[in-house]
Order: sequence, then structure tokens, then C-alpha cells
Amino acid sequence: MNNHKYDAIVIGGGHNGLVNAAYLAKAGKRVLVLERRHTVGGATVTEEIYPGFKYLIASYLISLLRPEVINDLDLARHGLEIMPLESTFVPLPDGNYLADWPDHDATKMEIARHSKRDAEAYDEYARTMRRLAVALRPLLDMIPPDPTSVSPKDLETMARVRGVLDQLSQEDFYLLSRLMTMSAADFLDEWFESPALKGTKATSGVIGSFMGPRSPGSGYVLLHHYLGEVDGVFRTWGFARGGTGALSQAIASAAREAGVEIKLDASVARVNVKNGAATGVTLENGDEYSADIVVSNADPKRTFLKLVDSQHLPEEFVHDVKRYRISSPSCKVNLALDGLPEFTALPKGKEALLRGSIEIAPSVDYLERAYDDAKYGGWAKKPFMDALIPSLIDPGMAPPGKHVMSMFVQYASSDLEGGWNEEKKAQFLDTVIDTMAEYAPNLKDLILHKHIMTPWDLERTFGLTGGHIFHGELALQQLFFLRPSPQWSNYRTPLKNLYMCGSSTHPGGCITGAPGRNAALAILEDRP
Amino acid sequence: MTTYETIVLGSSPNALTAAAYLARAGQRVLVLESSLHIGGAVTTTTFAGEFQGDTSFTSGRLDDSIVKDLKLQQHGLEVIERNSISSLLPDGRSFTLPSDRTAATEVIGSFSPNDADRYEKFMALVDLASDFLKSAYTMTPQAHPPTAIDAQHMMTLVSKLRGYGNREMTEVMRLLVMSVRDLLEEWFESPQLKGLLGSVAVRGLPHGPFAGATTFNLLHHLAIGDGYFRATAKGGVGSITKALAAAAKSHGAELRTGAGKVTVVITDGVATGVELASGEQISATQIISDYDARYTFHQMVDPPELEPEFNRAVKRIRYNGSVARINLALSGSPEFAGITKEALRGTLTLAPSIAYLEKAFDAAKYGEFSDQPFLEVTVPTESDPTLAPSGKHVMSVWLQYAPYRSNTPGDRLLELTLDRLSQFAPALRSQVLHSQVITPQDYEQQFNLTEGNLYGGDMTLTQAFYLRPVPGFAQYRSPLKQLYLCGAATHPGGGISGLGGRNAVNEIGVRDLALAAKD
Repeated sequence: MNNHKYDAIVIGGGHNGLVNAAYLAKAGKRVLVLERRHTVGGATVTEEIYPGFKYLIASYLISLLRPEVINDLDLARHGLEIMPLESTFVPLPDGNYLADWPDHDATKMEIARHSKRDAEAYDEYARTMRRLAVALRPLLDMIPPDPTSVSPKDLETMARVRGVLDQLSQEDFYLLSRLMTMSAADFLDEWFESPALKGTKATSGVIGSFMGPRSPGSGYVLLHHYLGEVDGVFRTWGFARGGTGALSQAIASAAREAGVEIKLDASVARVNVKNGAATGVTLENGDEYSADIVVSNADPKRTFLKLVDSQHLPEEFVHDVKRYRISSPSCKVNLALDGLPEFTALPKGKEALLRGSIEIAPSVDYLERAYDDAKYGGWAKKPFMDALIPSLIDPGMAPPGKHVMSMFVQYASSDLEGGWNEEKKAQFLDTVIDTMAEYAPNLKDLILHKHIMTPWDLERTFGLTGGHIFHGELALQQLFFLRPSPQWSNYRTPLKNLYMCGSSTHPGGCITGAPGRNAALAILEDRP
Repeated sequence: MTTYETIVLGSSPNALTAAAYLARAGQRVLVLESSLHIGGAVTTTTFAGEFQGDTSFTSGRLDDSIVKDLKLQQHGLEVIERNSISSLLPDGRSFTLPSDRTAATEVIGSFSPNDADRYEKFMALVDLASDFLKSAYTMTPQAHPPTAIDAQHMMTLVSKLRGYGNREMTEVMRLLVMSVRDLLEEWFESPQLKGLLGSVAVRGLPHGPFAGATTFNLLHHLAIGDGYFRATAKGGVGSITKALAAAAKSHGAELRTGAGKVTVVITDGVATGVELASGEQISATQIISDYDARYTFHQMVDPPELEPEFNRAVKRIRYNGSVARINLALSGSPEFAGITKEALRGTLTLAPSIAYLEKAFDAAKYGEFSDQPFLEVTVPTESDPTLAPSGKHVMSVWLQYAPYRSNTPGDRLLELTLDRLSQFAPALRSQVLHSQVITPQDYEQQFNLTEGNLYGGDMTLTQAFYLRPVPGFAQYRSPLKQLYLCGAATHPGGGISGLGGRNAVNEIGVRDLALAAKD
């Protein structure tokens, strides 16, 4: 049996785990990252499941990656190249379409084609969302305070939170209060009238969340996605050359350079505990690694219900972990295509639109009905899709003349009645392809290979409980100082020397790197 | 032209509470009601000649301090408690939850021993959260930036929260923002118990129990004493307004009904009086409107008198009335499977599961009408035989969701209600002598309730506390000098607590008189 001693062991080489390890190593710690799979990145990977075609089997876009992380880890030097997504194309069932362009004025003109009033409102909407996002950004980089605590540090952080709110104008303060608690649909109704525009905007309120756009709470998710907006045009999402996996490789490279050791195919079976403190981990193969601290990049259910023996945890905390909501409605579909799909709604001369997002979200009602179909344990008969043709952005993603299509799909329940099996997977995959083919009729003839990741597949492959891409719902009771559990939102856990650094901690999901970075800051506070 | 110090527009419990307190303080007060009955939609009126039916709410409990201050018992208020809530279950199982918690635990045990173990703890937690809410309900919401008084209020609330203990403090905060489905799934496993407990969270709300922050609506109803175990008054809820009216009169307030459409007279941006449909003008030093914000500012006031930004905020208020009331005159006492005679004095609820409630709401989202409704049924004559001729009964049904937008005809709502209830009370149809259906459209037309919303606007967090009725105007004031609000549209919202009226009087009294003294 091997035994090795480190300052820190990070369980899971997802992007947050790697960021965390890199920051710790840069602070002089000897760090080991243990990744269960054959590659780093967790759900941030690019995989060649069908020869020659690179699939984004889970995450597919980069929008919220903290600039501090990019700079501190010098990710550009480590090969990260983010290409902005040029546009969004929303084909509509009636053959019309809605597009937005990188250019604000072009988008405004396009919106005017649907509603002149909306085009006017759009300026103010973009300005307002940007203003709120900019004002709230300091919260992303904060270690959440414990509101019950009267320690100087918590009081100081709470004063900083108040400071963020106090600097808001009266108008923005009220708007933020409302947006946090309302539904994305209600919010958008206050701004716009065009169903297509509201549909595509509402998608930001439901991506990754088991809510419909009419559920109060989706307003916050909408705002969450705007926090990554950089220049006031729609959502500015980026595509990493080589796919999201290339981002993980870049972070891993930075981490290795800082001295981090990364072990692949190293599946952690349990966190070892001695005298009420974490002392290291044992792998499935029996290997043991010890360290002064252990950091889990896994979600709380996996960490505290599987890896840590619950006898070491307070009953109340175990209760909090059990009640943590992590059911997911998100699937991922990848297609290898023999050529480009032809969208009936795409006008001649505007083929450039295919280089951006292709969104099947023609209206708020469409999204809401997709949610309704799934919320009792089913799947959407007409799913919402956020698709990309990565090979148009980065030709290296598919053989010459061929293409890959990546489709983020909602809603299909992780709590599917009777559970997922091969037959149901195939049926839902057909539903997805049939729906997309309504907009691109030649799609089916082009398919060389198709691949679906249901919530169960996401769970099996990446260890995401419930397949939840954000490691748990961005529900109001699971945000900020309540994420993942009241009193344990500061990346620390009730088990001494065990920390959390994944998306189940503040500020939550998406490829931000913020939980990984914030957790490193918390750890370094404890162990400078 | 007659002159008053205060004219109160509308006569719901909030309006009458405000009028009574002001008159008690020596003001010359006039209450003006557009419709024919004091109480507006909170009345009990005769239907089918000899039956008494509540018009909107069939339960409600004035805040204790109001009952005491205004000596309402002397003015005829006699509270009738409804000490149980029963679930109408499709399999005919009996499920009556008594208000006594030990007894309730026993009942729950037959559905789930685990749930029985947790019930008292759960109720203790929601008690705490609603107790906290109740504290906030007796204060004027803060402004932004906060004034000195606001800061004081905040301190009081924060210390209250801290006083509960660390764990309880964060639990209460979570509860306020949670979906009731999430909350109940954390605590219980029995679908029947979850349905019954969850139903109160969607009462009056155009949302289903899956929606975020629905627990707030549950806590709201608990905070105003109108949660699971409700109360009415002898003679129907209309007796509550009658007692208030009597108290107001005893202090010298004048009450006028049948005023028709009333408009507020504005002179140089100041509300100086009102004009009745007849053309009669009455002036006053201050006008307090009990009507909702949309009706007050867009119907009673000429919108050009207000800033466009304020008008937009008023336009953004969500109403979406989704409740219809059905009163049935019955030839005898109804018999429901699994419901004892004693339980008939309580509330009967058709909400067998959380999924049932959500499905009831699904159609409403698209402006359609669900044929699988959430119902709350009372038979007030079981405790108060004066409401019907001897041996006969009144049954009153709260039907949800009947969205304003769907404009579903009353006879369809009636048919559906009878269909659903006949599954549990097979003889019901043969007992029905008469019926009365009041739809959201009716509420709007007869009582000037915007989109038929009985709560003065949706009881969501987005429209609560300092955001109610519109951000920046949560202190019972309006942009027009001397025009105030005191109704369900203001903090703390809908229901028969009277707190809006009392808070408004305190606020106008304390802050404005202080300001006036300074001038």
C-alpha cells in the first residue's frame, strides 16, 4: 500500500478543483488533484466519442469565467483562446427568425422587425442589466458571511454586502429586490412584447434549473447569467478553441506549472478521518494519500453522504445535505454530421448566424410547456434547445467538410418515472432530433452518429448527483450564505480540515472558477 | 360643501379600522362606500331570499389589538373558531387535522409515522417564521435609503430574528424565500399531508406550489391568524365589518354607502376632496383610499396628475385574480365520506397532494381554466344556524384557479364544483336549492377590485414589504399630497387583519404630524 503526504488533496479535477489547486500551489502548498476519470476537467471536457469528431459532452460555453482567474493563472499563456460567439439565431415555427448580432445597433434593428417598441426598450434593458451585473459583481468574489455570527470578520463582510446594496441607486435597489424574487417571464413582460424576444431572453432564467420561466426564482437565474455579460450586447458567451476541455487543459497546465500533481484514473472511495479531522483519502484501489487538508470539488451529497462517513458529521448538517435540492432537467446531445444542417428560417446571406448559438425557444409558453411536461417526472415533448455547431467556430472539432452539433437540452427529469434506461434514452434522443428537424429538415439525413447524456449519464460519468450541471439548484434558499447549507457557506465544513470548492458553493454553477478561487482564499486564511 | 378631516374611500376592514382609530382620536371622518353594503367585498349578504352567504373571504381574524382597542366585542363581534381542517381524499379515507397538535400527530400517524414524529417540530418552525412576519406586519416598511425610524425597525426585527437562535434564524430566512413544495419535501413523506399543508401556500395566489417563494404566502396567512385553523364571526364575516362600522360610528365617524364611482379632487398636486357620481363634492384635509393601487391611481385619480414612472409602476403590479366564490343553499346538512359532523364545522380542502395543486394551476398559466380545481369548503351553518332557515344549510366554496383572463362563465364553475364535490358527497346535487357564483370579473365589476384580486395584488415576495404596493411608496403615502392608501394593497397585504388600516393611521399620525409640527 502506498502512502504519500501532501499539504492539500483536491478530490475531483473539475475546473473549480483545478483552479483551487493552482491557487493553493501558487501560495506554496504541495497539492495533489485526484481525478476519477481518464482526463481532467470534470464536466468541462471535450471528448472524441466518435472518431474524428470532438464532442462537448457536458459544458459547452464559457461566459462567467472570472477575469481574476484568467489573469492570476495566466491561462492565455497556457493555451486558452476564447473566441466570442458571434450571434444567436432563434428560428421560429412560422418560418420567421430572430437574430442577435455582436453589434448592438444591428440587433436593435433586428428586434425592430418583430416589435419597434421592443427595439426601443432593448437599449434600456441592456443598460439596466449591465448596471446591475456590474454592481453585483463584487459579491461573486466574496466569501459569504454568516449572518448569525457577530465575529469581526463576518460583521465586516456583512458591511461589505451592505455597501454593495447601498451604492445602488434607489431605482436599482428596488429593481434588484423585485428581480431576485420574481419570475423571468414576469420580468421580461415588463420590458418586451415580442414572444420570440421574450422566449430567447427567458432561456437565461431557466438554463440548468428545474423551473419554468414563470416560476418566481427564475428572475435570479436570469441575473446570474447576466453577471458574465461583458459589453451590453445580449449574452456574450465565449467558445474555447478546442472546446471547453481546452479550458480545463489550460488550467491544469497552469496548476502543474505551479507544482500541482494531478493523478488521473484515481477514484476516491472515502475521506479518511482521525480524531474528528480529515487526514487524507483512500482510493477505490486501496491507495491512501494523506494531507493536512482535503478539498472536495464534488457536490455536497457525494461528498458528505458517500465519501465521508456521516458519523463524523453533525446530524443537523447531514440533514441539510440531504435536503439540498439537486434534481436536474438538463441533457446534452451531440451529433456528428455529414454536412451543415439547413435551417428553413435562415435567410440567404446570413449563414454567419450558424456560427453562434442556435436556440429553440420561440416563446415563454414554449419553455413553460416543456417544463410542465417534465416536472412530474417526464420529459418535454418539444424540448428547449441551445445548440452550437462548434466545427464552424473551430474547424479542428470535426474532419474537413463534416460537422459536430452540440445541443444543450431541457427538460428531461433526473427523477424520470420508472428511471432512465436505454430505450427511454433512445426515445428522448429521437424527440430532440425530431424537434430540431422541424427547423432544419435535412438534419436527419446528415447524422453519422448521435450521442445523448441524460441526467443519469451525467451523474454516472462525472459524479454529478442528479446530473445537476450547477451542483444543485440556484434556488433562493440555496444561494450565497445558504449555499450549500446555512453556516457552512464559507467553503469550510463541520469536519475539520475538509473544505468544499465546487459549484455547490457560492457563487454557484457555470464555468466561473469563482468557487475554486474563493475556496482557496478561505483555506489560505486558515493556513497561510 | 361639507368638510371633513379625513375621508376614507372604501369600507373593508382596513378602511373601517383606519376610520375608527381616526374618529377615536377625535377626527371628523367620513367613510364612503361605492357599493350598497358597508364592507365592500367583505360582507355577508342574503341570497336566494333567505340564505346568508359571504361574498369573498369566509374567514378572517382581526388583529387582537384592534379588537381590544375598538372594543369590538361590545359592538357585536363574536368569533367562531374552525378548529379543524379536513382533506377530501379520492380513496374516501378520513383525514381531519385538529388544531390540537398532539391530537393531530395521532391522525397523521395513520398516514405516516415519520411525519407524525416531525409534525410538531414543523409547526414550531412555521410558528416562529410567522411570528417574525407578524412583527414586521405591525411596522411601516422601510424606505431606501432608510430613515432613522426605518433603521430602528430593522434593528428590532434583526434582534427578534437573532433571539430565535442561530439555527432558527437562518431557517426562518430560508422559509421566507422557499417554494412550499421544497419545504414540505424536506419535512414530510405523506402526499396527503403535504397537499393539505401546502394548499394554504397557494391560497389566492396565481402560482402553483412548485413556484419559488410560495412559502411566504403560507406564512402570511398564518401571521394574520388565517392559516390552517381559521375563524369567522357569528353572522358571517360580514359581522366583522359590521362591528368595525359600529365602533367607528360610536366614535363619531359617518358612513355612506351607494356613493357610486368616486373620484379624487386634486388641486395643484394636493388631494383636497372627492367628487361623487352625482357631482357632489366633499372636501377633506386628507383622503385615505382602501382600494387597490391600480384602481386608486388609474380610476379615482386622473393619471396625468402622476409622474409617468409612477404610473408605469402601478401598471406593473400583478393582480391575476384567480379565485371564485360559490355559495350553495342546501336543503339539509351535506354528508361527505370520511368527514364527521364535527369536522363539518371546520374547513374541508380538496388538495390531496402537492402535484394535484400544481396541476390545478397548470392550465391557469396559459389563461385557461383547470377542471381539476383546488377547493376550500365551509358549511358555516353547522356552527351558526342563523345563516339559513331552520334545518337548511349554506355551503361556501373557494375555487381556484379560475383565472381572470379565462373569463370562465359562472355556470361552468358551478357545474365543475358540484361534479368534484359529488365525488365525496354523492347526495350533494339533490340538496342544492339555490346557488350564487362570484367570479373574478364580478369582484372587479361590483367591488372595484382590479382583475378580481381579493388581496389587493398578488401576495408574492415581489410585492411585499417595502415593494408593496409599488417600490418607493410602501409607507402608505402616494405621490399626491394628502392622498394615502390603507387597504390590502399596502403592507401587510390581503386578509381581514385590519393591520393595513391601523399601520396607515400610525404612519400618517406619527410621521406626518411630526413633520407638520416641524413646519
